[in-house]
Amino acid sequence: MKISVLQYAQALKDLLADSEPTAAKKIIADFVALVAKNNDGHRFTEIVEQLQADIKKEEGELEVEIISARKLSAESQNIITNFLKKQSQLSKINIKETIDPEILGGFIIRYGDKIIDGSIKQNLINFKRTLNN
Amino acid sequence: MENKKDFIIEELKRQISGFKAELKEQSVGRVLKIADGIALVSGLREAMMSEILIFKSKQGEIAGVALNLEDNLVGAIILGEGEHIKENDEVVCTKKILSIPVGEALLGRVINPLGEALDGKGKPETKESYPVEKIAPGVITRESVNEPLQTGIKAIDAMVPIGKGQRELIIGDRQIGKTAIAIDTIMNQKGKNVKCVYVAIGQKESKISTIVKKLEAAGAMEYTTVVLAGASNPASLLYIAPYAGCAVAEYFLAKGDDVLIVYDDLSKHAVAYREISLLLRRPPGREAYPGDVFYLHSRLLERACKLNKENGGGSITALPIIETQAGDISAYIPTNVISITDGQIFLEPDLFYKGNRPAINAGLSVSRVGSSAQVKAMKKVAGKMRLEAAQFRELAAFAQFGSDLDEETSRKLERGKRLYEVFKQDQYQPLAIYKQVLIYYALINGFMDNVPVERVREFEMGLYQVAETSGELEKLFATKTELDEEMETLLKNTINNYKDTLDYLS
Repeated sequence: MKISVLQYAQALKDLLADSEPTAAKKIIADFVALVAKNNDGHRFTEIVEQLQADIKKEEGELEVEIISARKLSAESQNIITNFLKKQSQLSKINIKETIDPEILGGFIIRYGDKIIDGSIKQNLINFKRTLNN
Repeated sequence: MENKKDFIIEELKRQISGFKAELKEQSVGRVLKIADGIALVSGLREAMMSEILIFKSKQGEIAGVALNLEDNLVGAIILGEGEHIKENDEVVCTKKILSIPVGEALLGRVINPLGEALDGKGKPETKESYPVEKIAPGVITRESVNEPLQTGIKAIDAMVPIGKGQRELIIGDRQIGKTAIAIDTIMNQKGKNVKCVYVAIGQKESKISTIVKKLEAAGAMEYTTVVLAGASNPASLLYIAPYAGCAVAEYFLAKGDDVLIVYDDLSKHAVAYREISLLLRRPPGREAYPGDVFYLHSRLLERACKLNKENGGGSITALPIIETQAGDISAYIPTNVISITDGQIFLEPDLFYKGNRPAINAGLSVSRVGSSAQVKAMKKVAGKMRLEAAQFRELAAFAQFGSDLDEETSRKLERGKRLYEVFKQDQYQPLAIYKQVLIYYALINGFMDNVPVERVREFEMGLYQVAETSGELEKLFATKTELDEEMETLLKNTINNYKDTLDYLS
């Protein structure tokens, strides 16, 4: 059976959590050997990324990218942060801001493999579709 | 003019008020690889099977359908122009299963498998939409086939009768009149309250344009929808075309109507699916078709059905078409579809080139359920005709070598020659059932034994004309379909009266 990246990351995380800190070195060496034995070496980067994301989630952090046409005011940022905290039940939200004038207005929130698209550009596309119908 | 302006403004107001700006969380992935109408997309862990995915390219949004769901990877087919999609473009889930707009407005229209108009008459005004893939009706909702569906083709209505809700395969080589049978059948549904759907899969658009013109001329487009995925369309559209056509038919089924659906043809559909499967790297099997090519067609044809009264009593009759290579019906796809359907009409090149058109092979063509749904009068006159027709061909081949034959054999031969002459029928000339019963009655009761073989068709046309002018037979058939004494006398009188007017009979 093929083992998924998710499963690898989960297994390593659980092993590390259950054992003494001194055994960590051996566990990681064994883990690398296992991945190599399963011919999954090429997925190693993905596993590490997944592991980092998992740990962050556990510690109550969420990486969020907010794309907006202009720099967001502190007030809007606050509203979004509070919304995301409520939504995700996590205590810390790490925001990375990006300015993209192409979206015309509004904002796009991106976290993990999810997206909330509230840009004027997307709304205009949706509006056009309504008119065509 | 003033009124028209108002109307436009009102319409705009209505549409604008119908628009709601909303924020919703969507799953998003990125295009890893795109080639040949197939895209590999990373992420999209929440994607469903056959869910619509939206590819956000620089040139606008393009729809696709998820087909392969893997760990952290989705294989999708792209519906439409895929050349604008670039690697690393965003893809979002819509949480909607692929569906097609359906409704009365589709009658008389030519649409593509996504429900968009191809005939330049504007967007069809439809209110509902049906899923393209749907599980077929179950056992409880069905009943056995018990009503005839007249094809208007003498040889078929007599030898391989088709019932409403049946699946009858039309199989044969290229260019020997498979489509012609299907089109004649559609034309013959005029005034019989049967809706028709013609699904063209991988056909030349010139051929479809000719067919649509012929149907329009015959007044048959009024109750017909043409679903077209042409030869130049990508394989993804060819693949969903028959399912989309079936969804259109299911709308009428749900209203309790009878529907006839023609899939022209399923061999090209299988080839399109093979292309998609190989590009998605699914393992190839026999003739490089994927392992589920049987399920591909069985789930489609299972959607043909006759529902019982409690469920509306509608029906979908399916006429799938398969093109064979050099008459080989033991190839993979033909054997599959033969085993799924309730019988087949086998067309033979030999007969076709001898001038027997439609070129139906009486021995190999069968209808497994149709005879229970045959018109009673027809069943009586045409009962053993299939056997006789098959025997005649063998006898004729055998009799070529000797000239002295006993009386019984030569009588059979003479009858057989006339029978094959009667089977001949021109294209686009479907024949009413009373005329069919009339000519077969004349034949099997020996009224035509003294008509010279080369004048049989002339005799036939004259006989129809006589029956048409008097109109008595047609009236009688409208009230009952059983061959009782009253009908028999009328048949006899019509034939004898007509024969009296002919001078070439001895």
